Amino acid sequence: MIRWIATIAIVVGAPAPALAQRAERSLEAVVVDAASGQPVAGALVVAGGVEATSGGDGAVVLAGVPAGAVDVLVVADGYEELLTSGRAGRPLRLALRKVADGNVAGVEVIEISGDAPLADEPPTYDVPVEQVRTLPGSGSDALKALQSLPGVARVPFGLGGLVLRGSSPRDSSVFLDGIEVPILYHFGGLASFFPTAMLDSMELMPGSFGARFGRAIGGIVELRSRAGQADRWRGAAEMSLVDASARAEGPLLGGAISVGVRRSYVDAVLAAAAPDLTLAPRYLDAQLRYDLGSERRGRWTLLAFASDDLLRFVDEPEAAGDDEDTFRYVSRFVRAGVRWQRDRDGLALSIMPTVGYDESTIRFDEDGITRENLPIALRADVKRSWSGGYLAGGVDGQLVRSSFDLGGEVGPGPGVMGDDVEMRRLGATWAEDGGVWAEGFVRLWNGGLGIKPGLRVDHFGLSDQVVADPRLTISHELSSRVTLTESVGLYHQPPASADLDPAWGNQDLRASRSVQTSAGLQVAIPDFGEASTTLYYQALGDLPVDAVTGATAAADGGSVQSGGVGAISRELTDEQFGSYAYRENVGRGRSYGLEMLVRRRVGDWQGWVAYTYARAKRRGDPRLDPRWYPYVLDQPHVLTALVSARITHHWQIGARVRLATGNPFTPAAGSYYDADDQAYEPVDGPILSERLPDFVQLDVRVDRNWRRSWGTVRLYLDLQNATNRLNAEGVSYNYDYSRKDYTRGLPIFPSIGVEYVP
Amino acid sequence: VRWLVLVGLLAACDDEGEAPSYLITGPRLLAVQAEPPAVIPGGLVTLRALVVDGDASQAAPPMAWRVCSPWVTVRDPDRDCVGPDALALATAADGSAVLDTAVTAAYFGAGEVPAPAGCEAVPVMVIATAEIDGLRLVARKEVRVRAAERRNPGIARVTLDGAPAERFAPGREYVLGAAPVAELEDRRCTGDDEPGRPFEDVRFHVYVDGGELSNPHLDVEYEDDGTQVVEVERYTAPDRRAPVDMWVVAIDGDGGTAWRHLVLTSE
Repeated sequence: MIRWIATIAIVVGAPAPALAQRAERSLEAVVVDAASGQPVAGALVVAGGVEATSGGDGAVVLAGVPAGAVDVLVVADGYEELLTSGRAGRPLRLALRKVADGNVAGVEVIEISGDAPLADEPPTYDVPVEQVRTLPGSGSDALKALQSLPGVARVPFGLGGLVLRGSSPRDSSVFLDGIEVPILYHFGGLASFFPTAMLDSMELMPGSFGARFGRAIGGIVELRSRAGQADRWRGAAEMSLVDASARAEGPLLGGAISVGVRRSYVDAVLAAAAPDLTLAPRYLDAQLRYDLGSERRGRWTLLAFASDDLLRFVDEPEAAGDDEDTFRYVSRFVRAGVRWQRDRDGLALSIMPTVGYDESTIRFDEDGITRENLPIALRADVKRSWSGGYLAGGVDGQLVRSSFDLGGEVGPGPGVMGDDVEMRRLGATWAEDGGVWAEGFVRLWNGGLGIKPGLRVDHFGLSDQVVADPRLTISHELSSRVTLTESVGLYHQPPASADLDPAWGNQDLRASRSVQTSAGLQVAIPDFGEASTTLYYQALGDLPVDAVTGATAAADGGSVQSGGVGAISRELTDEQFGSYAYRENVGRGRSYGLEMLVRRRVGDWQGWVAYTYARAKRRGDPRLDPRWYPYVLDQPHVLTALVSARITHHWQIGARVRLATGNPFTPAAGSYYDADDQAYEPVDGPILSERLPDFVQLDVRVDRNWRRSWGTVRLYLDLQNATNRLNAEGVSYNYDYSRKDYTRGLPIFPSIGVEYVP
Repeated sequence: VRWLVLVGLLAACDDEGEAPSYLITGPRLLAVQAEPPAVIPGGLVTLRALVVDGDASQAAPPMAWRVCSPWVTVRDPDRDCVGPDALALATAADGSAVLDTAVTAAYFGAGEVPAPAGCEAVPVMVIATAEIDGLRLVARKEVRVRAAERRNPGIARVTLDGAPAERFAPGREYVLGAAPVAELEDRRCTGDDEPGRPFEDVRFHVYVDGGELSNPHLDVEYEDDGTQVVEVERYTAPDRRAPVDMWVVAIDGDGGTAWRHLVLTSE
């Protein structure tokens, strides 16, 4: 059977015109076990008419494969066959699933995995999930590892929020199996919403993404969950200083199910440490995936995931009659969807309806805001292989009911003080957004040139606007190891519902847009890994910016022009809570830069060096101030160097060094006394003219594995900020602004955990 | 917002070791009083300043006064309230000045502005500048022009453990209290002039040149039914025998201002 499949693959995958170039092309790959990440020896790998067998370290080299993308077939005893695509000069990771007893597919080809061919996409960045587990500084959290990749700015205090190529966090989207995720990280950035062990892959597209995605003018993160193994039931658990998790997977009703749950216990620890203050921060999340059927015949996938954060302070009354001050922060969401997909005879179909619920609450006593969203979404894609390339298209849309309950002593608008005005506002809006897209990919010149035009048309319900976004990617294979990719595209994003508030928002607000261009060079380095560099330029227009400002000095913090922690906090929470400011589409932005990545993917030591030179500038309302200023997260230089080495069969060590330019802020040039408020008011220095000191941090990690017949136990120590360097994250002043001090970042933070994998 | 809370907690740790704002260690312009604090259109307002320093109990430095243009938002007095956007006032020998609202309106071309009605108020920004020991002190005060005059509050008493604040035992902790002069309290402006409406809240800001305060201000508030709610704070006297200078500045809801200087001697 194996030989039969291999023979067919050889015949199919050997285009005659490429034979003359075979001698100078090779495809390198590492075959690993999808569950454990361990290398698989003796696997037969077939691509473009060439076959080879993997060695003890799972590595395999297929010399003389034809140019362009080729089908890659992997066959190994005890594993399901794997069919994927590859390209000479691009190292592949081939993750095999063990054969399941009475597995869901029961046919030849079950799951497409491994690295997708990149020739039809601008350079993207990925981190193999099994590598994440030993990545220094990420606490075994895959999504936190994203912040070590090029094009990603550093966020203060290690808080969540993706700042991609100088775009605001609200301008980028994260998808898990096609479902948009509202919040990527639990509060404080301690952990992401989805456990690493249940992820199959993740890919970062900091810009220039294809027509498949819309409603974002920044970048995209695409996550794919892992299907459960159906051969037998197995369970795993992990415990660290912060949280504990458990997961299980196995056969169920002819399919495969995997479930997971995680809960933090920081609340119990802190409550014990501070008995006078009831402090209860905690997060939990849960995941469920159930697969039935095969992709060839049609696979059903049920996916559900939820996240729940709660932070609560209760200041106990000291005496009868004292008020009890409480603070309550809630952030929770749940998503559930059913996907049907089929991939047969070059035609791939997928359709997925989803529903969800979000709640975001922040209240001091009864004052504060609660926002709830009820999204109903549908995504349907079709892809057809065609003449060495493909045609693809689809629709995606969502209907969202957004409601809010706002109350307290608040001003009626930006810059207008509340002055003891008690108010409460409740409201709800329905917004429907829908998009249709199509794109094709053709190969010319024996596959040496790839062209992918795409078009996306969206209707934004809130602004009742139809936008068309053409996008184009061109790839040149300069040699067997070097590929140049250029991309240009138009992107639109609908306004946020909070910005259209009927009381103080602007109901005429329209979509913002960006034009993204990039040129990337990718080089495959044999027996090492890869290197890539990308130049990009983005022009942003129609950005919603505050058109009414108060008399508050910028140096006082909190406004866009203040910079520092206040302005960054606003950027991070703007989408979740809204700013309730009057905004107009008069803002502009531009960002440009250079991303470089050198990555070693093979051998006992792996790692990468990522450097990003990035500039991001913004212009607010030109009627108030026509000048351009740095974006509040403008970080010209960001360097991450990361290495992880297996020093023995049981021990692994790693280190990560990060350097980043400090964020800009507006200094206080002096102050005067407000006699009515009995407080000093700062006088602004030049807007966003100073920067915090550069950020430097070293993280180290040690892993110890014990492999037994009943499973593997892994103990790790992940030491973030190992040198306990007090990095500056913000600026603070004394009461009369005569002395400046820095708000310091997190001190040394150990993360100790133990994981059991069957 | 959530991050602001977390960051605020972190930032609070950084404030350790910084002198608190209530501790007078050098020259300070602590308060500006407008008499009356709210004036009818065309009325006169007398302006006085409270300037203190860390050594003497109270100083009387040269003062300068100017009124800012109502058409300019004052973020920086030395930029937004100068030249044609400012009207200088004559300073009397005692450092006070008189603001003539009619002259001010005419100077800035605000004569056509409709007179405020009911509880509405037109703010007039005043900048006070004092020079002391080569240090330039700048303060901003808002005078309100409205349909009816309002009064400044008064400070009836300041107490330590219920007794008049006159003496202290070094290092001892006291309950600090203050009360307004009932006869000088204005009722809140609600527009309907009901006689039974509650009085304006008064906040007492406390400054000392020694010791520690649990909170630099304490409030006297009135419920809607007229019930007075009095807040107290804790004052820990310094470990010294030398007298303590204490200044209490009372501010009411209309910007009305009063102050009182006390010298506490050790027991």
